[in-house]
Amino acid sequence: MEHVSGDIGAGNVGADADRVGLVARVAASFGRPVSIAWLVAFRVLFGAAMFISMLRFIVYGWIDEFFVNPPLHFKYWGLAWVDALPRTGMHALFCVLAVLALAIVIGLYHRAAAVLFAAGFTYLQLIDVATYLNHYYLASLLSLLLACAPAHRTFSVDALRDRSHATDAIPAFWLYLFRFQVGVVYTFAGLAKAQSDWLLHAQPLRIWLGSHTDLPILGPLFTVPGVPLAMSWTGFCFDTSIAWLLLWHRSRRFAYVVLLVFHTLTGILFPIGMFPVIMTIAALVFFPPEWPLRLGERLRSVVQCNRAPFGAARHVLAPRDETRLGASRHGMLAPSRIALAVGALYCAVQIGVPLRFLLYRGNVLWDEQGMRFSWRVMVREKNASLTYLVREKATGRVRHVNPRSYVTRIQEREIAAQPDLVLQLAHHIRDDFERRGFGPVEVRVDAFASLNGRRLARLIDPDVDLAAVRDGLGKAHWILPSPTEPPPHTHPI
Amino acid sequence: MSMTARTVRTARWTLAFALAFSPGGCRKPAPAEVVNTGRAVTPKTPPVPPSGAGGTGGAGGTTGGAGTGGTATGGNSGTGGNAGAGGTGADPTEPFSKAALLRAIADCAMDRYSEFRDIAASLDDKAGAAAATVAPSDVTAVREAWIATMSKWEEVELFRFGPMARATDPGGNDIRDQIYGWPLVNRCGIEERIVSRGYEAPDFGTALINVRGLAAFEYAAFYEGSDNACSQFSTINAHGTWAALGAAEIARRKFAYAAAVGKDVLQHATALVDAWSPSGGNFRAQLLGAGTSSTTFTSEQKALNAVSDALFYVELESKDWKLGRPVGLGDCTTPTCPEALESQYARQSTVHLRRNLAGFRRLFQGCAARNGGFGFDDWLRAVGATDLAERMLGALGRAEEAVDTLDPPLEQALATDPARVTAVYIAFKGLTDLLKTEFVTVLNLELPKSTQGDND
Repeated sequence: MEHVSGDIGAGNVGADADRVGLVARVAASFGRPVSIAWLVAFRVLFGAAMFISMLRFIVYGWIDEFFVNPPLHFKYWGLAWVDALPRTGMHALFCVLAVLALAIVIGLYHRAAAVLFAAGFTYLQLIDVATYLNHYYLASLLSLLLACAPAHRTFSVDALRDRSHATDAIPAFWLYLFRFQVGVVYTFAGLAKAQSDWLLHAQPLRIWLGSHTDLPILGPLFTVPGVPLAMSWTGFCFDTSIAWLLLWHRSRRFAYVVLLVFHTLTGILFPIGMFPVIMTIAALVFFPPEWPLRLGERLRSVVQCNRAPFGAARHVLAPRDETRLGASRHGMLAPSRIALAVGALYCAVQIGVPLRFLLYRGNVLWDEQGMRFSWRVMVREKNASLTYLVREKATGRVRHVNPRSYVTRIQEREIAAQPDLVLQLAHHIRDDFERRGFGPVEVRVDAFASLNGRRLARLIDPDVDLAAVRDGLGKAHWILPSPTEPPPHTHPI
Repeated sequence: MSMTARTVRTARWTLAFALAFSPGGCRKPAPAEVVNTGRAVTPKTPPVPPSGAGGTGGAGGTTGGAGTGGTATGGNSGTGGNAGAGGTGADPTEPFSKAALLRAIADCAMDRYSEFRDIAASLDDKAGAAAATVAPSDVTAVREAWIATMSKWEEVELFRFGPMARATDPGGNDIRDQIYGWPLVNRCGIEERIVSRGYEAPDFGTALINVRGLAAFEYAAFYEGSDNACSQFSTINAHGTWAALGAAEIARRKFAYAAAVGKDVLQHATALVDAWSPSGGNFRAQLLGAGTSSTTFTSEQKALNAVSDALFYVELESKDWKLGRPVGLGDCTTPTCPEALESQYARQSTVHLRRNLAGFRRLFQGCAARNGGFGFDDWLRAVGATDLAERMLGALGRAEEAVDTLDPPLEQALATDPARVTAVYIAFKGLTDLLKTEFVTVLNLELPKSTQGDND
């Protein structure tokens, strides 16, 4: 197999594949050499974005806010052992990650830098569930892929230092994997919007647009009847189709312009930090793999004062690129069976995890079971009021505990609407009360939530003693069903 | 591949990327760089006109009408008074807008601050007289003045945004804590200063907030006992300096202490009014210029978010601290915790709660006569959430009714009928549940102190 795909060229893929069947065809397709330029560009741009991301944490004081100040961190199921470092350690970690991101940019000790960055950044995400964000999760995944990919084989300090591993071409496997990852994000983000709140009632977009009616030019538009609904459908259509439009060469440029406009707008309208930047960078993987070279050629022609028109650059570059690729077909191109298996497993997980909500048979926006890691980006506006009722079993005395006694205001906002985190805090309160000598206690909650502007409703069964409920991945029957009425028809003013 | 070829290839790569990301271009002149510093050098709109010389009733401009309760923001004239008809009222024909809501809120806040400043001036006068004579009539007068001052202040508490808010909040300058630091009250610290005459020191105004402000005033003016709250190891007990003063001198010094606190409170009340006045800090312009000329608020939504944070006073301070803790629902080891009551000595805790709700109603429903004018309820109605506005007003009414029917008052009910106090707590919770859920959701407001970081 490997010798087939290792030497295979674009022209004889089909002929070889006929002989070895579907798996071989897939393997051959994955082993097809493509320019490494796209991956190098991604490495540089993504590394720079991550560097800026780390700087934002440092400059905005978020390290203390999210990781140092909270007296309690909420744990992922099965990862309770992950804890924050002391303050100095956390600050040092962010500095180290910033340096590692720079190392990724320049390709210095890339493999080690990318692995350490992926590990460090993922560790940050695992410290506290309350800090979970979809784009942090995406950054972790992309960091992981980047750590595995041969992104340093050229245009890097590593390539300058050790030219024996330098190459122009890599297997298409990596290109497909990155495209798959980015496509999954958009597609699931789109599918998450295929529900009545978004498509019929334009919620929560109506609510959010109401905050931006004083925006120059656009603001007054948001108050026009029908515009929020049109924007909801636009968002849905964009998310569900953009990956496919980027894949098709005829629509690619148009799609990317639309993508730029879309992410610029969402960046202006919503506090989503680096997400638009990351997606704008990540979507470049849909362009032909040699796009950076073509762009360089074009820019060079521009620098040379239009001596070579844009069209000429393509003709000049294409054959030269083929030559480069031809010169690079040495063994390393075909992904091994193990690599293919790991890649397939990775893809299966990326499809399966966002779909796990189907097993819970509830409204994922309400019960949040299956919410994380599923790319449900910007589909809910949910706020909750939460009071713990702690009952001493011995005396029957009930105390009302405000979660703020244990968590920061930021954490309170996050956890109050997420039942599994409400449960975690209930266990913490139980342990704290028992440690303080109040004896065995029962912990119930008075929890009300409003989803996308609906009338507030009880989120959690007030009769259930959460102190006795075990955390787990199964269906949480102590979460009450979501309200059935539609969200209110608010209008931005 | 030879070293030379690799070097050439790497150099080409480097050149390609350098060109791709170089800022040069074809030697065209770079466009004029625009650096957004977040500060508008040239306002996009004309500057917000200052309040009318006579007060904010006039400042309402088109909405002010006959501003009878105008606040003297620029000078000494104008006694403020209650927001009478049209004082901060809105033109009933004016359609709702966020700008109009901000204007109504700003005018309402300035009226409240100005009224408080005037009452604080009266308190200062009476405290000075009581300190000089310690005559029963003067003592009674100063106590009545404190009750009147606190009655106004407890309403003003709901207007804790801008300079009155914490320094970490937009435009915040901690003025609230300078005037009323409750629940931070250090009785022993006050008593140590009574012995040392620390209240006469020129730097008394820089002492910790837990020995100054209206809470310290309450202790000094109302507590008639000659004991102290310091431990036996405290200097005043270990050296016997407290006991050596004698009851009469302790009483005299307490009123002298109250007089010093009164001056300090008046100073900060004046600072608060000045911080809003056009001739001072002109925070009013910051609020009204939100999204245009304001350097504090980049949008009207952010300004309204800062204001809405103040509404949450009824959740933490009123519900949890003033009710939940004393009645034993909070962290209290005994069945009830009367020591957590707000008004320990003047026994005005019930009145204070009532005034908190009055402040909430002004902010939520409107500040003009009969709570006319723009409030957050108008915003809710304007976005189509009339039902929510009505339910919130209903919940507010139930909380007010629960406080009004709290007879005997909180201090006594805590001992005789704690269930009644719990019922008041539950009534407050009915309001705050709506505040924390539907209200912030529908208006897309952030809960206080929860806006750090990114989203999704």
